[in-house]
Order: sequence, then structure tokens, then C-alpha cells
Amino acid sequence: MPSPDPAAGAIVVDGVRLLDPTLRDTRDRAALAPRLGSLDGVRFGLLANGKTHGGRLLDLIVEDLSTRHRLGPVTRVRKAHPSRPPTDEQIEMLAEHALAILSAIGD
Amino acid sequence: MTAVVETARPSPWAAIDHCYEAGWTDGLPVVPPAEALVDAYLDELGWDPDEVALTEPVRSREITLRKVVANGVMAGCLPAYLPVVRAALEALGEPQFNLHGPVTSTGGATPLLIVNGPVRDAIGMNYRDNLFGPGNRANATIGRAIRLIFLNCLSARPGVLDRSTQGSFGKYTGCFAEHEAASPWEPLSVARGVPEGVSAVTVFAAESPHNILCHGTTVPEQILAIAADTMAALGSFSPGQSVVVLAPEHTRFIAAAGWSRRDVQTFLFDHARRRLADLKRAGKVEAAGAITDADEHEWVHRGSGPDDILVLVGGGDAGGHSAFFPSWSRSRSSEAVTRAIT
Repeated sequence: MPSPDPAAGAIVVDGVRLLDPTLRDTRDRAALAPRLGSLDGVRFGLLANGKTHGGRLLDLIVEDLSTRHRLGPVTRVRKAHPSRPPTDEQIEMLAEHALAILSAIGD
Repeated sequence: MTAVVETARPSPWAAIDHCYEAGWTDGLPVVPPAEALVDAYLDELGWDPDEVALTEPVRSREITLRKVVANGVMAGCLPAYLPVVRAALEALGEPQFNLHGPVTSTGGATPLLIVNGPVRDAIGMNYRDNLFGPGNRANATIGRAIRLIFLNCLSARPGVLDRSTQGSFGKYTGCFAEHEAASPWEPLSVARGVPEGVSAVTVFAAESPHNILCHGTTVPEQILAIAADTMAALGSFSPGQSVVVLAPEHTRFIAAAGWSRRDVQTFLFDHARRRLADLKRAGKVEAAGAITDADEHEWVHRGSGPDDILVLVGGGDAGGHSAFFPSWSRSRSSEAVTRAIT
């Protein structure tokens, strides 16, 4: 059985002190926003990841939600590249026009 | 006072098992990152263990030299290999490499490490027979160290942050050196701006290599036409860069005809192309619309120009097998970066 030696950042196994080679997030995690009580009238932002079918997938979700809720206006944003974050302008647009944002990977 | 745990198995097997149980390996056994060994490596290298070698751009994870060495030890590196690993990490952190993409993408890319300069022989790297394959400690463990750092420091676990649909065998390791003596041209690193005689590493987000098999001709245009055809394959066709590793045999024929590296790059760029209409028919163009007559005459090339084709020499002395490494991604998403090794 390994024995943690947190003071030294090491783990002792069979007399051998091992260094933990891993790394975890050091940034503070953002708190979750309050949950929405209802989707009726909610202005939605759709953040497509920039892959082939991302926008299509989000539109289908909105279409489905619309059968059960009276959604507000929808703002659509597509990232220029799946591996890069949205631009500041895109984030500002979503912040201004949307109360809830849906994002998805569609490939 | 640290606790000593008795087990039924003698060291180092318990420590190796622990590395498995802790999720620290790539599936193969690792050398346990014993603190004494890591400290000895750091001492030999004269490295500050708390110095940051790479800050991951998206999640701001800071990988210290202590973590680099710990993972290097696990990979089986000797201390002398680790400056190559460190330079590679610095290159991977450059914005144009776009590290988050190749680490996480469904495309299954691996960072290919291409080493030039005196360090190749100083640490005994392989640039001859089977240079992409097994059998050489430096090649195998330098590339493996990068992968272990991705797994352990960037959470690039399959199905977690590494969402490769199929991955590639290159994800275990992907490192080789250029056979500079077999090349009629300057080393790749020199062509990319590093002074002659200075060791360097070039990182390239690569898909699996494609064999360029050609035994039936000594004519450069024919050899390179086969290479260009391989580069134009629909499956990996994109506006991205390319790495072409010419076998010494192919290189000799091309050099004998007086071709420069630029001649090779230009020929490959000119011929690695598809008609826009064919790309549309194949479903390779998003929101393509109808195919027009103009599409039948419009050519789309692989890459943006001849400079996008990194040409170098590697492999055994005999055999007409060169290789093409396509870039990762359907678009131009990552660019090669070259760094001097200090």
C-alpha cells in the first residue's frame, strides 16, 4: 500500500519516495450561475464550436425546446476555430443579448 | 519521518504497480519517478525545479521543470535527453502551435519532434534505419516524455480531454532526427532560421505518416509525383502544412539531378492539389453549394505555398520508402515551430 507524504509532495511505496508527476488546475473555478426557474421568455445564445455540425445541433436543440417553451430571441455565434476560445467581441455579444447560453460540439 | 510500507513484492515492482494504479502511465510500464532520481537529474542539469517550462495557454497550467524531469524519468530518459524535451515544450507553447488543439482534438494528432544538430549524435539518436520505429532509447523516450507530460500535466487522458476518435500509434512517442549527412541541403533547422551547428527541435502536429513507396524510377519528377499524389489524398487533404521525410535513396536521385530543397518544395506544392469540384463531390467542402463549371478548373493546393512543405532526409541507406506526415486538422490550425536546444 502506498503511503502519502503530502508534506514532501511525495508518496512512499515499498520504501521508494515517488514524486507525483501530475498537475491539476490551479485557477479558481468559476461558480455556477443561478439555475433558471423557467425557459419561457429566456433569450438564448448559441455558441457553436466551429465544427461542421455544431450550429445545426444547436438549432435542433432550440427547435426541440421551442415545442415546450416560449423562448425569447436567439443569438447565434460561431467560433472561428474549434480549438480557440471565442473572441472578446463574441463574448460581449452573448453577454449583451443572452440570458442563457448553449454550447455544443458538433462534428 | 516518512512511512515505509511493506509489501509482498520487492521494489521496484510495487512502485511500478503504483504508477499504474495512480494512472500515471501511457499503458506501458514506467520507471518510477523516485525523488532521489529526479533530484539527481535536476542537479546534473543544473535546473531550478520550480522554473516553469511551459504554461498551457488555455487553462494556464504551469509545468515546472520538476514535473518535466519526473515525467522524463518515467519515460526512461537519460538526463542528457531532457534539454531536447525542454526545448520541445517551449516550442509547443508558441501561439502558432495552438497546443490545446492537438492535445484534445478528435483528429488524433501527435506532436512530432524532429531533431537537428550536434545533439543528435551526442545522445545517440537514430536517423537511419527504422527511424520512426523502435530500438533507440533517445528517440523513444524523448517523444514518450512529451506524451507523459500531456497525460499527467494536461489531463490529456483518452475520453477526458483527449477526445481522439481513433488516436494514433504516434501518441506513444513521436521523435526522430534528420539524417543530415545524407542530405544535399542544409539541415531543416537551418532552413527554419536556426544557425548552423546549433542543435534544434522542430515540433509539428502530425497525423499518422503515409508511406511514399517508389522503387521503379530514378527520375525526380516521377518520385515526387508519387509524393504529391500521396499528399493530395482526400482523407487528409487540408490547407495545412506537410512534413516530407525523403529516404536517402530517393534523395540521392533527386540530388543527382541538381534539385534544391526549394525545387522539391515547389514541385510538391504545384502537384499536391485537387480540383475544387472533386473536393465538393467528396463532401470535403462545408456548405459547398452546387458544383459549377468553374469548379472543374479551379485547383486547390495542399498548404499555402512551397514553404508549407517541410522537406528533410531520414532513413536507412537502401529502400525507396519516403514518408509524408499530414498536418493535424481539417483547416490550418497549427503551424510547426523550431526552437534551439540550449
